[in-house]
Amino acid sequence: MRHVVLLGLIFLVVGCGASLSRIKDSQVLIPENQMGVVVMAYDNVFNDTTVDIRGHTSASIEAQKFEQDNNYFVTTLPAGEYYYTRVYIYKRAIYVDLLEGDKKDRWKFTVKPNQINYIGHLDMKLSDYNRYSIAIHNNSVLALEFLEKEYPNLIEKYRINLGMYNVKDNFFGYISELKANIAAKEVSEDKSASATQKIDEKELKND
Amino acid sequence: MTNLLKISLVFVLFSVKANLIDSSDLFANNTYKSFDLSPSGEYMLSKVEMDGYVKILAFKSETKSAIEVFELSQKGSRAVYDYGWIDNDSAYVEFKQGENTRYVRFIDFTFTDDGGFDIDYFDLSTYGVVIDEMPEVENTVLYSKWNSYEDYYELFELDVSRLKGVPLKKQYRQFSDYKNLTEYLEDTTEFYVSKGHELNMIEQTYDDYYSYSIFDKETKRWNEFYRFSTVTDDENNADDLDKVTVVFKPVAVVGPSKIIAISNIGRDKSVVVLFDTKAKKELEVIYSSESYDVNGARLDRQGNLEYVSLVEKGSFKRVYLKQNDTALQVDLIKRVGVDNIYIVGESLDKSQRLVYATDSSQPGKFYHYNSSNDKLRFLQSSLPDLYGHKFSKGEYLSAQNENNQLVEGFLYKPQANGRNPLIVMPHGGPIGIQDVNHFDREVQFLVNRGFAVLKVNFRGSSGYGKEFTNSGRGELGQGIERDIHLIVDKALSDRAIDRSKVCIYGQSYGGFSAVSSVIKFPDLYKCAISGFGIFDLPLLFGASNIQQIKEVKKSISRVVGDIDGNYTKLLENSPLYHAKDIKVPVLLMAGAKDFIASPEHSRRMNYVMNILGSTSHQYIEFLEAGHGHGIWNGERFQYLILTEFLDKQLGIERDYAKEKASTVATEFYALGYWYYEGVLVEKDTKLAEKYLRIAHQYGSEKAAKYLRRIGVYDI
Repeated sequence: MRHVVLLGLIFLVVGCGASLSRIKDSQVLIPENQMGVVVMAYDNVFNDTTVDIRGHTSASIEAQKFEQDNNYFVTTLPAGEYYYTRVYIYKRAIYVDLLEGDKKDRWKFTVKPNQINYIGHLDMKLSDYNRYSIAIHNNSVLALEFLEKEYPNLIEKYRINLGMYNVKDNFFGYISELKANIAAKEVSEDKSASATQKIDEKELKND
Repeated sequence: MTNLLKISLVFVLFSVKANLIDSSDLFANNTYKSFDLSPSGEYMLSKVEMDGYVKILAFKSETKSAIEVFELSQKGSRAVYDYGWIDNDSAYVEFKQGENTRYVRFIDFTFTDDGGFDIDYFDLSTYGVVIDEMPEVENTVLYSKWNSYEDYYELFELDVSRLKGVPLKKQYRQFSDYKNLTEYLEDTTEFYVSKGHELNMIEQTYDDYYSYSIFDKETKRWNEFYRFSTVTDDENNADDLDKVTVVFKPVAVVGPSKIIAISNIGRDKSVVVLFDTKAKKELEVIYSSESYDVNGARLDRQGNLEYVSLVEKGSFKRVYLKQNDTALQVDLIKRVGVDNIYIVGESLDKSQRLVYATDSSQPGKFYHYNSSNDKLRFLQSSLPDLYGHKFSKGEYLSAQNENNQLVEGFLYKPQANGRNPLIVMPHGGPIGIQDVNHFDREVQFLVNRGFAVLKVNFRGSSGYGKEFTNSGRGELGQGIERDIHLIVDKALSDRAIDRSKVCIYGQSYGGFSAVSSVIKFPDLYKCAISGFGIFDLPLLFGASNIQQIKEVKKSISRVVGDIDGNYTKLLENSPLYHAKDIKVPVLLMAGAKDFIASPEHSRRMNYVMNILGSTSHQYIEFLEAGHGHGIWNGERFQYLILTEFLDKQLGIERDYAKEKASTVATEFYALGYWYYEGVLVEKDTKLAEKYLRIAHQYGSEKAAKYLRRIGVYDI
């Protein structure tokens, strides 16, 4: 399976606000009850775009073209509620205010402490007449597969949560449950096999 | 004068084709799109797609050779929207040259004594459409022009001859000299014109409503007689459902305050009514059907109702209301040998008619009928490359469901004797979509490959009235699948069906239904195939942040039920959360750019089935596809892969005879090439090799070339 992405992007913090940096697979959250891992991804036709977020802390995240094999950015943020607030498209020299009008909650995301929070794929498209569309897509499977490949220890350590605001989607929970059931079944089968073997051995001895 | 390229058209192809249809012949645009008769009936135009060009051909009605009068490459975003005669010696073609450039070409014909003609033409650079050719008036049309400053359409009476020679950049000034029939009107989006070419009714569209108004000749005023608020009442679900299912569509003005309209206001099914615009109420029902919605009507030149149209037992029917017209229809159906004929054009005196003939086994044929000598002359097939192939006619099946509602289905069987495997093919939607029993490329491809195909109009489908449509809401994975099973049961009793070889395949909601059905009926189905499917009902509300917009959320709720009150039920009805109960092989296909059924649905099902590992499955993601393919090759790929999957699951072994080998070679070569290039799906050299090897076995030399490119020499 493949998902179409542009050349790898790296997110750098520019301007004011907290300094966000990419975390490593071995990293732990400190303090765990106040910080959450944030996984965001970028599907973008432009390479010269800045996205602002605001919440417990504010940051401008700049997507730059970078030779890298994925379009994800994994960082940490203090737990709480955040908004994507605006996008600046350098190529067109335009700011897009995402919070304009009465649909603010569409741009909200939640960071839960002591968890990995996937907050969606930010997707931007430019069409004719300088029209653009910006949306957040829920590509949980792609995010999960990315984490399994690049952050195996992190997902072993922390449970994954969908941070898109007001979205009732328990896919990550369902997957965890399925995996746990399968693992439990395997253990039980192993135990059962092992018990049968022991009984056989005992019977052999008795014989 | 322009030098014309003469084209000799061979109007009839009589070659007999081998039974196996090349997928590239079937999954292709119609070559002959349409014909148009001049007002006198003496000449014709035809829109043709050929060799990568859209062409307009002109010819004398009784002759067999045509002359190309317009040509446009199909590359990029170019397109021809409409064309037709303006009068007996002039025609127009509306076309798009580039992304933002639209033109109307006006073509003048000069006829010569030998039956030929020369042409001269000029282009008008504007965005709009000819809505009335005014055939009795020389060089004049009613032209609906988009007003880009105000965002609405204006209607002009255009004397075409005055535009001749005016440079493109100065043409827009010319419009101020023309009669503007909508001078004091705003937000007009549709125009209704009398047979005398007077504007007498309009549609206006605003942010939160649209309305219809009629022109009062005495007071010279426009009087609104119908307004429809597009804002729904959040608290009142009945009001909401009524709004989304209401039909009120004016057809024509028939008196000072009388119109004919299609309406279902106050009743279950859409009917043709006489409506009083002053009293704003329906006066009488002119035509209705007991079981089906009427979806169209047309008045003749005298202002009398000529025919109504509806989908009856899956077939597009035109019911003529005059005895003479009905007699002609019956006669033509008999002479042509198809189920449906449509008069698609006629001369002003009605002596000459253009006839289009089609049904579920006929892709379409055009005829010219001359009533003065009762001569019916074949013009051309819509798809000449398919001429000589035989197609399957859909058999009508029906049953009553537990709500005592009529459920209809259409069964297509291969011509071969013996028992055939069956592919059940539920439609998408599931609400407000209707399957019809007409020529269907996808169905005929599968039938040609030896599968019987069954289509079903389950509860929720359109065309059977509001109650039937509404009864499917929230019945996803439940009542809908019970309806499908009712008709499947009927099909299984047919001796031509092998009940031990049944699979289910659908697209969009049909994909959901396919996977749900193999869970519900594990003993019946041997496999399931989903294209662009949905599997997780809660995900419909959370596939992106667009679904959080109130109106979008509401429209999804109307189909599947409200997520806030029904979350558990939605989970229970979602096949994703019952994946452990899938016991048969599954093929999943998705479009990476699908924003209707997000590929996330199929990715989730694939991911879960991978974890479970209990049954075999295959996942294919089309790189450039959205909710379906925008290109025929995508369609070909899908159906070739699908056939291979069905063969494997149903134990069908194919041994193609020599005369079919070249078709088989072409198709496997195409699959190999697509995997080799990674154009439709991700590049996969192993699969490329697999298909190229098969193609080479059937004689494809091109396949050998590509096999060598990937380092395979043992061929």
